[in-house]
Amino acid sequence: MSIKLEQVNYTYNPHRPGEKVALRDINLVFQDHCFTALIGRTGSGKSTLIQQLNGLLLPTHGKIIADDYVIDMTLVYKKDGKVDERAMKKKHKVKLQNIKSLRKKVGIVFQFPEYQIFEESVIKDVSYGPKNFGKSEEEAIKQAKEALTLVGIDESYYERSPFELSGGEKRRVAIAGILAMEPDILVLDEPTVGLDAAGEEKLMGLITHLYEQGTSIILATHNMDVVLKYCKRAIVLDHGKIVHDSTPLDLFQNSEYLKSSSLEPPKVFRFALDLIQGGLDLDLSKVKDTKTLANEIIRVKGGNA
Amino acid sequence: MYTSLGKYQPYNTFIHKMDARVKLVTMIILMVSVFMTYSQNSFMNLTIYAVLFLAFIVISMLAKVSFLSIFRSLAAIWVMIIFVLILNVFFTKPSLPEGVDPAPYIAFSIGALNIYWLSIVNLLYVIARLVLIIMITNIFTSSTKPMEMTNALEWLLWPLGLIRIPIHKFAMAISLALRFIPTLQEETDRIMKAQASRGVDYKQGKFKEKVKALVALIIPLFMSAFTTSGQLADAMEARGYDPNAKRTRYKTNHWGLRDFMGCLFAAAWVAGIVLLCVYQPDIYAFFNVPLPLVK
Ligand SMILES: Nc1ncnc2c1ncn2[C@@H]1O[C@H](COP(=O)(O)OP(=O)(O)O)[C@@H](O)[C@H]1O
Ligand SMILES: [Mg+2]
Repeated sequence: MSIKLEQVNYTYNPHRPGEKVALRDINLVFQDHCFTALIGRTGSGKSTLIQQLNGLLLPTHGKIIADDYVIDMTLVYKKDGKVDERAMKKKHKVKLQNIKSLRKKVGIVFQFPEYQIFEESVIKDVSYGPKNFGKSEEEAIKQAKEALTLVGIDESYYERSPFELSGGEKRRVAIAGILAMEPDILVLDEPTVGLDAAGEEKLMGLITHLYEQGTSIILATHNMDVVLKYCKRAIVLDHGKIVHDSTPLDLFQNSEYLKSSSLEPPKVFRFALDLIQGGLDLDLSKVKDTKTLANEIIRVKGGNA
Repeated sequence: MYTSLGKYQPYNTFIHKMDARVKLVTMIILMVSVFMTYSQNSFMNLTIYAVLFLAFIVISMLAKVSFLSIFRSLAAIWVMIIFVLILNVFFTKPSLPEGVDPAPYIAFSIGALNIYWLSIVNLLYVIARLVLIIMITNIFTSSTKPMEMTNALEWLLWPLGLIRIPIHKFAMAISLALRFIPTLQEETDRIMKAQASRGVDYKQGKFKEKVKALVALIIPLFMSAFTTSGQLADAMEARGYDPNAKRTRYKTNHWGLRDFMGCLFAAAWVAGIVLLCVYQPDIYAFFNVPLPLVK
């Protein structure tokens, strides 16, 4: 499944005190089976953009096409060329038909997803999503078990109260709650925030695994190590605008785009650049983390890795 | 449904900048004026209410408070108005002496049911007072920051301190509660979105689904509220908060012209009420306007 955004604009509290333009003229296609990072400092509009993808927020104006599901808020003009506010208001009032079908396909894991937990047992909480999307009790439980296995929560946890779990475990249960819906596109908002190095590695391993199984991944983050190591495409947002869209490699090589967003390429990457400047003939596209960098150095130096 | 009724609106009018204590006292005076009876003649009273209504609209406009939103939110009060109407129709009857013909007291009849002028007047009283009270509180709460509001309340209640009631503890509790309303709103919004992503439909769906959806909202909300309040208590203690210590103010207000104007306005209003009550003017009697009989 692919999602296309055309001229998407979003304003919080329009025409009221606290008005805030969060997205400006976003044109974007998320191809089927992508692994995309949304990068930008806090307040650049990542979370707002993510919420457009499954209709939690509707564009103030613009159009979103997710396969056959279309949210059409394109501007309507009057004869004199001005925007027809009345017609726009009307458009926003129309109830979205069958929005659930979109939400089933686009699963969003919010920042600190552990806040969505509410059932008395882990298995019940994880099977809540599938049940809402019309699965039978047994099917929902089956999908829940699969999702829990994926995130590494074993059977001994199923009947425990999710509120007694540790922070990391809670987060994994919450993520399983989305995975159990078997979405085509998995969207994660800053999933690695608040995790230790091991937890981060594990989580990204899981996400990569899902990607290899065919799920599209969209990831909001300002963790550049993650972007370099795992993502195939990097989109930089600044003040609600797309300022750059390329592979992570291109992005980090042209780091002026990052600077304007007060972000920096990962240390590994900068180290590799320094090595190249020092005369080593490294292949930057192979450098993903310390391990691959080491391999490159060994290769260039003619050792055997 | 979004309603801005009663929520602080960060404009910059002179009413916003006025000392909250002046506003609080003025609000109380205005409220009292709504519940006064100014004349034996009910129609005269209603006329005065109409004048009050116009005055409050002017104040609303000065404070950039949308008074139209009041009428939109009044839709919720319709149930109550209809209830009052029904009660009135069935249970109010003017207590007429024996042998007096009730006909002139009846506004109209539906079949065997007589609707008296008294019922209609009573109903108008209820509606008028309701609307006026909502207008005043709306002006006050839209133009005053919650923090200033509690400070003003604390100031107003100082006499209770004389009988050893710890007002500033209450004030602290209230201001903390107020401080966390927006936080809870954000939290609610966040949890609703998270659950909506899991297929909960808060807008449509059957009653049973909606109840379940509410549980999915309330439990996480409480969990996070407990966590937050625990953290807050720790943070306050860590910074040396002592509930029994004497409080000082971080922000002190400097009185300006607008505050004196506010006081002047309040004083004039009181004078107006007193005058009206003493003289009990009745323009209807003065101009000999025939009115239906209410008793
Ligand atoms: N509920 C809201 N009401 C008003 N403004 C908001 C709201 N949520 C976010 N914003 C504003 O919109 C902008 C984009 O926010 P967000 O999408 O959360 O950024 P990011 O996820 O990149 O940190 C920010 O300036 C933020 O202050
Ligand atoms: Mg965010």
